[in-house]
Amino acid sequence: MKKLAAWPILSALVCLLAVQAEAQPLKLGRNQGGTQTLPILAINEKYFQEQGLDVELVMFLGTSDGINALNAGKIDVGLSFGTGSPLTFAAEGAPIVIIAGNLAGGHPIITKPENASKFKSVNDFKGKVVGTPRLYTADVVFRGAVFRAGLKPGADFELIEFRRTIDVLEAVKSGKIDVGIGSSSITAGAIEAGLAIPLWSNDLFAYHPCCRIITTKEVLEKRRPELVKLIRGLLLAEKKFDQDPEAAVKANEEDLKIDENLSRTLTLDPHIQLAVDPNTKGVVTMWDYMKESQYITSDADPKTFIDTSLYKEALDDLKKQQPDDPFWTILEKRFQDWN
Amino acid sequence: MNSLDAKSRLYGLMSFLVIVIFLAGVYGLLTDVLRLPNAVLFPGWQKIIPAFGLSFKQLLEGLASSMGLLAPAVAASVLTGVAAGVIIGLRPKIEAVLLPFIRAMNPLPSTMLIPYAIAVMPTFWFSSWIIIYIGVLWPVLMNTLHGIAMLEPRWIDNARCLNLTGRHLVFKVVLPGAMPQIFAGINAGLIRSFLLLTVAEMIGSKAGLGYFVQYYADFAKYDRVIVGMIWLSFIVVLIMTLFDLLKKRILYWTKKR
Repeated sequence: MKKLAAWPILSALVCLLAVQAEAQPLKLGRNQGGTQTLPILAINEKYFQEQGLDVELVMFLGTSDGINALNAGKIDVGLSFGTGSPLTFAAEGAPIVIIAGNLAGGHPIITKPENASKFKSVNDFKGKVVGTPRLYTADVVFRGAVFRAGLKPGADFELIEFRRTIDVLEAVKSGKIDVGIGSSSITAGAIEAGLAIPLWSNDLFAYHPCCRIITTKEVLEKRRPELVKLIRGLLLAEKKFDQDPEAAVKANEEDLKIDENLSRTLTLDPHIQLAVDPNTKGVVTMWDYMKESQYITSDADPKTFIDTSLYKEALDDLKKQQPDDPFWTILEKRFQDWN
Repeated sequence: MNSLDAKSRLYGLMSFLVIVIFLAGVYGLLTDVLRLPNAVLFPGWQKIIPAFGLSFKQLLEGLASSMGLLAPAVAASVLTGVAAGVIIGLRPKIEAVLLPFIRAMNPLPSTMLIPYAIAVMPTFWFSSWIIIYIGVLWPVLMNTLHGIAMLEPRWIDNARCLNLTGRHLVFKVVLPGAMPQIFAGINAGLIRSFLLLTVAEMIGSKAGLGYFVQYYADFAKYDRVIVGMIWLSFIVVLIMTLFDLLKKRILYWTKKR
């Protein structure tokens, strides 16, 4: 009898092992300062596992390190290395391909409360001392916006460069700069320090693309089916976030090891838009901004660094599986508008 | 070990140059000819040499800016490190109290100090300055303490028999006796200061040797990054050679060891 009872357990174990054996390993690079709500939610909800993927998250301290690891084949995908850095590497000849998105907008522009009323538009930076974290998405957005407003760094305002947004935060707090270009990772710290956020990066470029999902041409060629599965998992996470944002609050709370209130503030920040769409039009505008601010001198066509076909395939798969779900129709419309 | 004669020194220099040329040749073969490694991260000499020409003015400006930061920071660290080392080292009771603090402060990562430096120091230049100052201070201080602890007790006893006290004891016995160890500390501090340049020049800098390397690494221009690293290495070798000459002159009694 005991032997008979043991058979189902043994069979279940064998099935589990078989599923695990079939699961395709995929190494995903993430940046310490980046926002990874959708991938983390997808892991928490086991969407990647359901798609037959065995994902491993690899943390990097800087975007350049992460992209170099991607180029060297140490990771398969970059989740949160911004938009500016991948475009810079692509412009230098690295075989980087943007296959999807992660989030849009959401970077604060911070100042002391007594100065908050002075910053209502991009023209208000004239005559001020501005701190910016070089090559962060918000930095690219800021430089592009001031260029288009006809303002020149050095002539119309003083621009101080930093390598980390946490240092921009300290420079604003200590009064060494009038205003700082921040990133979503310091929003909570800025609020906690009593600083004001008179503008958001979205005010300079509405829902500009931020962290893009990137891979290399080699990985794309060899592991396309797994990448489509990854995007399907992320799209399911986007749907989950739309319907049950509290699940994302919980996922971020566990992943970032922060308290529930802070996690809610960060996850549900209305200035951040979580979207897996690759947003070709937004990326091309970011490229133009980088050229205008002389970050890039390449004459390459930025569209050659973007492959939207994987996203389209993943979205079509989900639409076929759930034809009556209006969420996928909305995303289809967004894809047409953004690409 | 006997000190090297001119012929041996020349032989050493020639051997060094042969090794450098050999390594550069291997790198060129792998990158320019065989094109083996990742071309963005490992640009060949065909890209690096023109990048050196294009960057030369910037490298000179960087050198001036970095030396303007490094020299006062290292000088201040050496002066305060040696002075504090002598004061603490000659008072065992004070040393017993302070040594755990000194040991605890020594390994603190410099990048963690940046927000504090920005918040506390009056300008960005001073924020960068304090990062280097603190980084160099600990090896100088620790080695001064070590040098004093290693002094032969009979030297101090004999000096006291000769009624040497106060500054006479410090300048005629303690400092010369501890000097080899103090120089070892300055040597370690100098090397550390070059490592810290990249960190210190992250704070609002517009030029510098560390800034140059970091700036172009952010933009994936690794031809310029390698130019910056070669230039920085050249400057480090030059300064360390000058330092060795100064050390030999001051520590003349150690020449034959």
